[in-house]
Amino acid sequence: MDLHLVTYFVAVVDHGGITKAAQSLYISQPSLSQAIRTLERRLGTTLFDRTGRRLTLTDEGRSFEVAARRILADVDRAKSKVAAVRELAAGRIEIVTYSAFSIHPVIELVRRFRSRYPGILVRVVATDGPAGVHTALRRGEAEIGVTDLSVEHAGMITVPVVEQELVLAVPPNLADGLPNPVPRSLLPSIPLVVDLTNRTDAMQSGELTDGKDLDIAVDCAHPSATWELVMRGTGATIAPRQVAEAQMPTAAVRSLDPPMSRPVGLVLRAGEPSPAAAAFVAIATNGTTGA
Amino acid sequence: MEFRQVEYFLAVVENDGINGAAAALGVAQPTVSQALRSLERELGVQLFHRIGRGMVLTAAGHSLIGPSRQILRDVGGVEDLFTSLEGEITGRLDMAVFPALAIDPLVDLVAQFRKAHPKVAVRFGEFRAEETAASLIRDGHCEFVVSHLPIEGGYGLEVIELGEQEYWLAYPPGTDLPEGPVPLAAMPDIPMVLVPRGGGAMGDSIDSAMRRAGVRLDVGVVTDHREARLPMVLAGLGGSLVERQLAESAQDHAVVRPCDPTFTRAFGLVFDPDSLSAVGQAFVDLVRSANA
Repeated sequence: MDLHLVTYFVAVVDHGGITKAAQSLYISQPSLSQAIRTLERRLGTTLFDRTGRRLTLTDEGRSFEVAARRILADVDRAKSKVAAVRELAAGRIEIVTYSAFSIHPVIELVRRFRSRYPGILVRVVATDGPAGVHTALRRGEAEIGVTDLSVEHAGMITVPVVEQELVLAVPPNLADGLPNPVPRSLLPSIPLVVDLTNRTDAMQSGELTDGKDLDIAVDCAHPSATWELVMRGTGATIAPRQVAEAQMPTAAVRSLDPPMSRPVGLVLRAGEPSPAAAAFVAIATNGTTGA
Repeated sequence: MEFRQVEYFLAVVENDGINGAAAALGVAQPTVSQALRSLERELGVQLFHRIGRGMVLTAAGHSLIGPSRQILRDVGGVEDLFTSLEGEITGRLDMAVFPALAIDPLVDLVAQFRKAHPKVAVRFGEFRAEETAASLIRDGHCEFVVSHLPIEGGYGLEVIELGEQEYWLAYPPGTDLPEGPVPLAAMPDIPMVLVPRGGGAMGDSIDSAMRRAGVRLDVGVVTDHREARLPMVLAGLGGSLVERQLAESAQDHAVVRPCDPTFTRAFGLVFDPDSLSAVGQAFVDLVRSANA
């Protein structure tokens, strides 16, 4: 059954006849009559009693009317659901990142997005590093990645967002006598709490050591436990400045010498992004609060 | 079988292939491939499927992981025999922790342990399927597991209860909420920041209580990053359900309340008393004295 035949039928009922219905539908009277006969043939029944001067519904016609109105209401609901998503009043967006960025800058980006589009659910998917971000994007598990832009992103769209400074968060008991900034050459003498299974952290420590072994006090897979262990004096850790300052308030925050930073940005699959993804990109690259 | 082969085998497993293993070990790739092939020859079975350039563990390879880790720990223990003459314990404390339990008192116990034994390296790892807790220990993947109790198939393993976990509600600063526990049906109309249902009995009981109370949550953000929940609450993104002590630690900044009904479940440290290393024994002693 074609949807337009249902629409025609309801129009004929609502206008009480072929002539007025044809006018409201902007089609000719013969083609509307033809369409109604086609509908009757397909349903195998007679919907209208054509014996009198006025067109009246048969019993079958009346029961079809109930079904037809329900179908049209369903169609409207479906269209408005899609429109809500298209117009960003509803829907969801999946973002993939790894622990290096789970707090900074992801929380600020999500906060700006949600304050502008409160109807859209934000899903943050965790992976273990830049390669995991690519995998999640390619598999369609997420549409936007928040990742390190100094890594190769061939074939993807990249959007720079912010330069993230990495600092040393040092427990008070280990901070005494430590210069500020801390020369990288001093790192092997400081016990550290880091996540060695996290590929980016491991890469960092490789970059930091110059071949010298770091003193890994705790290889810790749980970020919030890492923050607690630092504040309790077990060791220092390397973290984005914003994370060090907000999550480890009792730790001393020291820059490294030479300083250490990484460009953070968005990556997307090539091609046209969904409306929500396009909105996320716009909000991430527009420095204002977007409220 | 040589100790070095076992070490290389585990490095290939942990670094997803020969390249990563060679880099991590600081040796040439052919050295690793060669060691692996001779181990396979000796055992008479392939440990990895070579698929393209990738290495995927065979069933035989899987069965070798746990025992290999046990070998490494025991070898480390032999080294302890000599170094411990100086009175200091060295080696490795290896534990897998369910993410929701990577909090106090466990974090505090680890901090105390490191203070008492600064030469011991600690691996504070994670595992996400609690039904595998017993097999992680039996197969030698780690010496300790921290899991909700009781654990499945824990026969012969020893358990030290560490505490009870409870979930509280945390809302952004300035949220207008009466003092005292919040009945589920009276939760404020504020979007929630949640972690995905991880399975586990705790999540299930919270879900069913909400269904019974007829609560339909407005979910604003779902994140895999547990550590991001409280910062998101403080950034005003919404409310959240967090571990009680996390909520209490934030009560100067966020609006935190117990739930009514309460959701609590015991959790503890699980290990095999028959294969405890010297480092492991020292940790058990510390946990027992802290519990006493």
